[in-house]
Amino acid sequence: MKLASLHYQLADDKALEILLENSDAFWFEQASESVHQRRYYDSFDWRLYQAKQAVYSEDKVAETRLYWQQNPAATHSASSQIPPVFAEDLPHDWQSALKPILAMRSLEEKLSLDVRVLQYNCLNRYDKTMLRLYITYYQIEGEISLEDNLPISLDIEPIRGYHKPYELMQARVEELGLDTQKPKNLLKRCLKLAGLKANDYSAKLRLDLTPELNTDSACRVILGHLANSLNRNYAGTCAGIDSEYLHDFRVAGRRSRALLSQVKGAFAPEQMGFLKTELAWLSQTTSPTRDADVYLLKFETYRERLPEAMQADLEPFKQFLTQHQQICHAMLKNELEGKRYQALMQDWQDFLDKETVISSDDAPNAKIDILTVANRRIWKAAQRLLKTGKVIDDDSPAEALHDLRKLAKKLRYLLEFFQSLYDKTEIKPLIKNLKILQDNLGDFQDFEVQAEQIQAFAEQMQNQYRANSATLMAMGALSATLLDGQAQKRSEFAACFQIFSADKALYKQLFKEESA
Amino acid sequence: MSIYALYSIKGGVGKTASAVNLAYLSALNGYSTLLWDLDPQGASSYYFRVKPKIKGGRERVLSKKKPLDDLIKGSDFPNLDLLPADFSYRHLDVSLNEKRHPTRLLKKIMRPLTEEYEHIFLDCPPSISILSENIFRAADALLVPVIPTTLSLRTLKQLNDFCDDEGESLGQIRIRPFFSMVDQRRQLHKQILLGLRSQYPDIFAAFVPYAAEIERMGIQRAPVMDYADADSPSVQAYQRLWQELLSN
Repeated sequence: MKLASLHYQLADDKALEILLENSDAFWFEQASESVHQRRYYDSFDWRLYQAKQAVYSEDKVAETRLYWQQNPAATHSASSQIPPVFAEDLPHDWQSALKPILAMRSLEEKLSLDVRVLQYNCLNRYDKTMLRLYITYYQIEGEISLEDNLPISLDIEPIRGYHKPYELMQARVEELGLDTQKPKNLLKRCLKLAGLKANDYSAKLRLDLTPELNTDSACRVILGHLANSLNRNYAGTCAGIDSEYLHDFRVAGRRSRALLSQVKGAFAPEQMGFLKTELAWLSQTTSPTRDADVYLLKFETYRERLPEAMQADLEPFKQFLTQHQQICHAMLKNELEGKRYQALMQDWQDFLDKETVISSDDAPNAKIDILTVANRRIWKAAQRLLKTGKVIDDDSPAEALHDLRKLAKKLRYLLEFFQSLYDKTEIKPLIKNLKILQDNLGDFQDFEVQAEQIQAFAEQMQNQYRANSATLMAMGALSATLLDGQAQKRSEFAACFQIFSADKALYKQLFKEESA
Repeated sequence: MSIYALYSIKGGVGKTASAVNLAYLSALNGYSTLLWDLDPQGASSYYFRVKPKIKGGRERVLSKKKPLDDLIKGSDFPNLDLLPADFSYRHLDVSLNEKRHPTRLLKKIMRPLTEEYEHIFLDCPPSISILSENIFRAADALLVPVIPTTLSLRTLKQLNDFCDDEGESLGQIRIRPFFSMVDQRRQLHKQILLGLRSQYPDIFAAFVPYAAEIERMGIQRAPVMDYADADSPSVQAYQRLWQELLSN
């Protein structure tokens, strides 16, 4: 019968003296003491933490090992050469579980701990080891005084064929009342002690508006949140570590623009003029890099759309896209590190910092409560979307669907800005159903734009002698399949719109009646 | 999965030291490894500080109903387990002889172990007997330490002749001699070292020197690699032997 290793967490080291007590049959000898560093990794937006997973590395004397704590009872480990950056850098057999969690997000070091391990061997009279005990002390780097607050790990490792000392240790542990059931979440505890907050960033709008708040104050709160989101993603966007920094950076910019255009009259026009102009510039500046990112992110699906025999011919296109992305990003970085962006953020901050007295003529909605304005705006946007979508049929031009997409987007922004004013259980399903329509309309347009753009890329590659006829043919075939995809999305539109329009009564109940 | 038997008709040629050190290197290189001490003297067990005692003795070991699994002891080294010796092994031949298939039993009772371990090393007693025939059938290769002396060579010839005579009944057993306890200051050792290579193409190029360091295994009660310098001739010799064993 094989014996199982046992793991315990101790609040302090008082119990250790009893555990390490010698007896006639055996005694303990300290075999080693080692100190190494443990580094916890997660994505910028804490995807692993949210999924209750942890990935960390430990620098041992002979090698660096990478650990994946899948759940409190299962930790896997593997040798590691370099710190992992993407899910693809993790050991192959971990990827099926961790790739869907991390997706395209890169890993960054979140926390570093000093780990001190004392190994005790339990010896018999021949000096043969019959049991091993590992006592592990953790210390947050640089925070010496906090050591006492962290749990101490005790691991009991049995040696095959030596049951007696194992059973005795179990009895001692039971006597001391140590709990092996649920090891406490060490990372959570360390983060708290280090003053770090897991989930301190989310691309989602996490606002807590109160219905009585004036519209100008509520909009300030939203704009402050969005400015913060831009700031948080700025360094990652400039460094180009992964595509999601820029994605979230752009979303924050777009939301800010949408707020200014969708909630009119909250501020005087002269107050917001600079922001409108500069946010338009920011959107324009960041577009080429984001477009290139999207093509690269979709590349695998592009490849899969082609017959197997043609798939390899697409490789030069990937190389072209990679280079194109690098050029776009270099230009973007240059712009973002320039004076114009710094001035935009400074002016934005200045605006947030000081409230100026404005007349109600200049800002008619400023002092109206936000719930009234939100109801009015959402109901109007929903009505418009319903009305415009209802008349779209199979013969409507593509432009009609593109316009509908913009209307859907505006409604989505409004719902997200003001969702904290409503009952979560009522507003979430509305957003979910609207998203179904948005995805359909988004894909419909993206397929068309991408089909055209890929042809433009093909022409560019041909002019630069970077594509042979096989690659050009593969790109042509890809464009054709994308147009097929667009046709497919068109055929699904009616059903998606139906899902959204079925919520009409709910929209009316939630937003119209209260504004009446 | 490979089973290697450290075997020689002659005693005192370095079987146990080689079994212990090769098993250690196998485990060190990440292979799950078992060393079975079949010698009633229990020297391998002694080197690993494990009591050479099996509850129920040789009959327990040869039982087809009870697995060997429960008798295995973990060593002090990762990936390395030991099936200890027992003094009753001195009569293993008697017990084997009473069984239905006396020369195939070892292979049968070892079968479950081949699923758990990547490498199994058998430290065999010096003799040619029914137990030896069991070993020849169970092992993939006989690793035969040979001291470069006339008597030692004579026993190697005896072993070869025996295997030739038994022929197909022993299956695909490979005889892989290697020189052991080589004293390069001795002219005779040097001559035999050169001469024998042409006669035995399967002989290892690596050889184990005669070294006090290896003899100290009995005092240290550990594989030589555990206490000697990594660049010492003994450690280097076993490393080369291990590499050669692994490569063909």
